[in-house]
Amino acid sequence: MTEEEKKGLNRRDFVKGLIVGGAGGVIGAMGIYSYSPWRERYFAKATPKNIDIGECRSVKVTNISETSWFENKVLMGDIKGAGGLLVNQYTYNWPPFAEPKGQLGKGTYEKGIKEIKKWLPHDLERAWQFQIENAVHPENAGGFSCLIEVELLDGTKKKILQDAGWSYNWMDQAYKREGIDRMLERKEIDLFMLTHEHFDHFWGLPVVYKYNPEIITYIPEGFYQEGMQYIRDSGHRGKLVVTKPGLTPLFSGCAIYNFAIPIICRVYGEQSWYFNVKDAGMVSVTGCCHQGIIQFAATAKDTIKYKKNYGIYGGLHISPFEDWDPKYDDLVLSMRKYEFEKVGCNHCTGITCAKKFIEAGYPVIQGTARFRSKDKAYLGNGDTIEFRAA
Amino acid sequence: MSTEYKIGIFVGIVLGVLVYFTIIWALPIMAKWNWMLTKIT
Repeated sequence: MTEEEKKGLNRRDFVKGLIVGGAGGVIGAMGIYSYSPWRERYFAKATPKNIDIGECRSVKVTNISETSWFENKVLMGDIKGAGGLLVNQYTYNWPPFAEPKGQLGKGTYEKGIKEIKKWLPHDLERAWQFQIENAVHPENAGGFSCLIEVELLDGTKKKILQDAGWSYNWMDQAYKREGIDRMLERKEIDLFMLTHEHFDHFWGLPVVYKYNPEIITYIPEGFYQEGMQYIRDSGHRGKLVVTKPGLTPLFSGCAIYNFAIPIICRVYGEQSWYFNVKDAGMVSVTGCCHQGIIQFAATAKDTIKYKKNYGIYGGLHISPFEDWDPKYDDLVLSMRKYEFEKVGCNHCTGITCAKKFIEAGYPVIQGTARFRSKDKAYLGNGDTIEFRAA
Repeated sequence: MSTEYKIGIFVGIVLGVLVYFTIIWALPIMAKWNWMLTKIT
């Protein structure tokens, strides 16, 4: 028997308890710390820049086309067959860059444009006929494009065309349906803005330049060589403005924001709109929102001086292929924090997501499901939405 | 469970919490030392 045992003490038991208690104490302290306000001690302090972009009276968006493609299964099959989501989009042999008897994943921009350049931008029927005969799934191409009409405080109206869609045939029909062809011809549209280089927003470009080759065109910094060449090959003769990452105020109450981000199908950079509508609040308009709705809303808050969020319009990129994952539920729930009073979504938001928004009680403006838009849950082709103070 | 074991757990928890929060408190100071060292060397 040791001296300690004689005295009634057991050092071994004490050390065992010390180890167990020490480990429990450290783990418990981690837990307390991670749920306490102290955890913010090492966060970077963000000071809102509060940039004043002025105010406008109203913003109206006409959805020319939100159906970028018609069958998810066909589009995803092509992307998978060409090598996956990180493969250069110009190699797919999709229209309008098909080489003769084009095979999936074996094309290049140079070989594709060589076949149709002679017809751009004035004989698009022949250029598209070549695609029908040679491209991979030309029937699946649609496009995304919308018209934004901004009324300034002095009553002046500005018209902005956002994105050019994809299929020459589909986009030409859509522009004629909404009278965009005549607006372009009469030079009533003040500027043309490409949100990003993706096929469904950009490849219908010659259709715009067919009607007005001199229109001032805004693109985000980050277009690849093929994209820059396509702008020239499509017949553009006007001013090209390449926006830098960050905020570019354009006129009172209106600014472009360039998000420098990598995007699938080898694309870089996307730009979106912020409109500060008098007595209503901030209206955010996007093409595909690859930056994410949280970053989109948070950037407005951190950068621009405005009272509250009012509306959002565009593809919100949550379930573009109508799949669903529990993490998307987090996105749906987190949008509540930004308190949008009017939500106009479509395109890559996904019908599944629009229905989740409605279930969550968000003020989603529903559509009419015309011109091949598939569901009334969101704003379809030919539908409009207006943002102004009540 | 002996009394020594229970006392050990109690002392362990107190020490564990103290050690954890001391490290958290000391991190910026240590970062500063590191910065000073980089300046010196």
